[in-house]
Amino acid sequence: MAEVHISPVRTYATILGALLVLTGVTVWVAFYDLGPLNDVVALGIAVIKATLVVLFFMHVKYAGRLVKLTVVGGFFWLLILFGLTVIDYVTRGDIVLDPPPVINPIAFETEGGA
Amino acid sequence: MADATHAAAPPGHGAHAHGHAPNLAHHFHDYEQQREASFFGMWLFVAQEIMFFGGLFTVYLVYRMRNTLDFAIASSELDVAWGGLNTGVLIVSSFTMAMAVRAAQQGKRNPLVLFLIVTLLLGAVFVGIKYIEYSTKFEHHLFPGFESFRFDPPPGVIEAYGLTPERLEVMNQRARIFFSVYFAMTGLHALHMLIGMGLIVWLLFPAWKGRFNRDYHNPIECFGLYWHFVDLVWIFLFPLLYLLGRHVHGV
Amino acid sequence: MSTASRASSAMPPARRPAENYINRDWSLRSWLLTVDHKRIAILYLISVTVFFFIGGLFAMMIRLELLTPQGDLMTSDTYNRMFTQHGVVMIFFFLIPSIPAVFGNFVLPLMLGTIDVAFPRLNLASWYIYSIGGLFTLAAVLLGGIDTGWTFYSPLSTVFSNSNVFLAAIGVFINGFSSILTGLNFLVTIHRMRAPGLTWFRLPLFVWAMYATSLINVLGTPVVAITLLLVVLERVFGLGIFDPTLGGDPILFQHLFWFYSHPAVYIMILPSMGVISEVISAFSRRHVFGYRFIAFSSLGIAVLGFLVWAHHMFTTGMSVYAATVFSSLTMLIAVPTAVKVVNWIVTMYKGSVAIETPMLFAVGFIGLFTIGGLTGLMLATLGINPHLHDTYFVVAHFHFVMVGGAIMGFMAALHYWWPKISGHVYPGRWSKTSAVMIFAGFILTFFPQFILGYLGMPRRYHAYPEEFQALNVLSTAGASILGLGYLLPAIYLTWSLVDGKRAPANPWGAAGLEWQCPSPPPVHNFDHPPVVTDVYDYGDEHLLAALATRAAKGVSVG
Repeated sequence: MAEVHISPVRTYATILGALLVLTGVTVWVAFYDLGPLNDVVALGIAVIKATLVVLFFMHVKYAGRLVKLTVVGGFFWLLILFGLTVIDYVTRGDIVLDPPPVINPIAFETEGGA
Repeated sequence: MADATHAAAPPGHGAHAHGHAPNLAHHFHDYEQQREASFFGMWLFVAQEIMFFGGLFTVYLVYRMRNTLDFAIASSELDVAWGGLNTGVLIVSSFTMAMAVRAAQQGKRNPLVLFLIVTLLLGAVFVGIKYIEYSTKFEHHLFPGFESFRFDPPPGVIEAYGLTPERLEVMNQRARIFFSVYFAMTGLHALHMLIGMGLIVWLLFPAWKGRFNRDYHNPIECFGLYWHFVDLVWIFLFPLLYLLGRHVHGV
Repeated sequence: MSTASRASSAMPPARRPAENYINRDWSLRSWLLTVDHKRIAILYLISVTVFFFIGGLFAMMIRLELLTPQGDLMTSDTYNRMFTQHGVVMIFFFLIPSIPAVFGNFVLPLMLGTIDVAFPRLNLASWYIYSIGGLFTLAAVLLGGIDTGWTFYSPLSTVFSNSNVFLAAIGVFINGFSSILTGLNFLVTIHRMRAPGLTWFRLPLFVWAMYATSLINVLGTPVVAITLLLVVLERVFGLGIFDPTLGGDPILFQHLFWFYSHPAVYIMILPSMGVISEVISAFSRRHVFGYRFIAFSSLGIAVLGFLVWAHHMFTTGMSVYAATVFSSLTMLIAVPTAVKVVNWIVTMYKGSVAIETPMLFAVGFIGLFTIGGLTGLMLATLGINPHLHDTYFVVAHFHFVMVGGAIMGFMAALHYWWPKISGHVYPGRWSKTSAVMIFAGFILTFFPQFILGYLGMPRRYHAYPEEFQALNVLSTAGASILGLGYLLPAIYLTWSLVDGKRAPANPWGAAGLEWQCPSPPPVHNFDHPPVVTDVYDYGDEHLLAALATRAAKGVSVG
């Protein structure tokens, strides 16, 4: 990072717009029941938004290798925390998953749906 | 083996020491080294903050996995309008903060001060909305800290999922965990916002005095990293806490 | 060039010392508001020493109670407080900061050929944060104590305990940020402030060790911080995150707690290992064997250390499949650790070994740490663990690595760098005596505990079956010798400040940039730009020069 990189306003404005749009998308998708895909989409969009903030607002795109490694390292360490904790919980064999929700069609129709 | 190199004079010695290098700490050779050190150092701080919040996200992850339905139904109590608005507010404040850093990099005092103040105001809006949300929760007996905590899903939900009274007792308990996690995570986040707002006020003084320029704008840049990080946390908090229950049936 | 000038002890030390970082300003204010890394190191040295002796007092209470099988010296409630406070004080306020905050602070900039750490004011803030955390914890102790064990397991800590968990947890929480900021400071210093020509593989192994330790400090400590914060929130607000009656999982607390607390043991041992590399090399007058292997093994231990935490939890009811994963990963850590031990021993082979005090501690480290490490492997074995968990076998294991290992390293560092730090030499006979006392006292204290644990004596109990008394008496006897051994340095090192001979710049004839500046160093460390060479350059000419100056000196430096 020898030179101070000054981003043009247009870059910031574009990222701002993208972030707001993505927020709208994630809220909109949430109202639909996509089963397990809901989580995937929500997290996926969050990761994209986070990446935009990190790369452009936090200038990591223009930073040296060391900073990039630090960013990757930080998130990777988080994954270690999540991953190794979760392997205990998913293999315990005691998670009683709720049976799939029985949606009462009568209540639904009478009240005009969700 | 003995390929010795005579080190250059350690910083602080020699003709280029203090005096005609304003804002250059005596133990650094030049502005570039100082700036790189600050930027890297601040990112290390952000990395530890990632792990700090990460513990809470782990708690959320584990309990969400084990209580999926209850979390979803409890989440539907949260007001997605306020949450969504707050998300927008923070994103805009990240933009204004980036613009503030930009102004500092260019040594432009007035835009810097302006953008800092706007960021501060947006932060205040965020905290204000959180205050409204929290008050509502307290009124509805949804703060686990009070003995009076009681979570009852709306009748439509009870019917839609065929929830028996026993199941509702279990749900009450699991919803309590959801709200514990909710208050812990958003509370810690709000605390970081308040600290950030305090730091902006503190930075306004040197900013107003025109102390920042292309060579030295480290405090603004480092604070920018902090502020963007707090935004990052909310970018994940919002979908994980608020959007879980948007497609719960019977709401 | 640097051959004969390396060992500068041929010059008679000046009568009146030149201006250095100590005598520059004697006012209290100049010490409490210093940003000089060397003074901050001294501030830490004083603090950690105070906490060490406080922790030692609790140890003494424990060993006194365990002289007899009955719980006759104190109630079980009081005993719980003794071992809890012994653990909390020793781990968080002595071991974790010890070598990094004292010797890392003092020596790191010298080894890097620079004049201070990257963020000197942050460095001072770290000490104040540490002190405030310490005050909170001391308050917890004085206001009735804590009885949850240093591990703060829920739901005892969150629901049932009536002791000062809140204060103690806050104290440890605050202290955590001291570690984080120091680690951050060191990482930036090592990356960005090396003298020109000082490439990564020319760095002393102590620097590599501090680097690895700092990684753990920055990435691990925040997790215990948030965990303790959750304990506080649960106690204050009754949140119920870890409370099984409210739907929480107490094992989750343990996952979060050990995610930090296992890597924490590597925070405690890696700096000591760095010291051992320096000392073995200096007192064998040989280049460290397998430099790159040792350097990378430090990083390897730091990384692997994060992947094994649940081996503390095998008997909790966690998933057996997950336990298998953690057990296997734990075995892996033995590899880089063994690499170090082998390389140190090979470094000594055919070297010119000098039996100076730091070397005594270093050799003691190798023996005791190896035993401690091997017993760790035993504990990691799933078939053995249920029988040995929560027995004195575990207590013996971690004392072998933390006291026989980490604290021996601290003592080695203290005796190695004391002349540089204080500008005085200490009496060799006393220091060697204390090293031997510590070694012998340690073995007598803790080896019987392996047997006790194997025979089934549980830990954290103030009473035990009659048949265990003989071994317990041996252990307490050993503890008395050990305690005396630790008191001696406090006395003779302090004495050396007033009455000891002045130290030359390089009393040991050692390689390394820190020996190229006067003892004690001036405020800006180097009067002349340091000459950067291969840091363990002990070619024959140095050997001869060092041997010559040793003979010329006539008086033993220590």
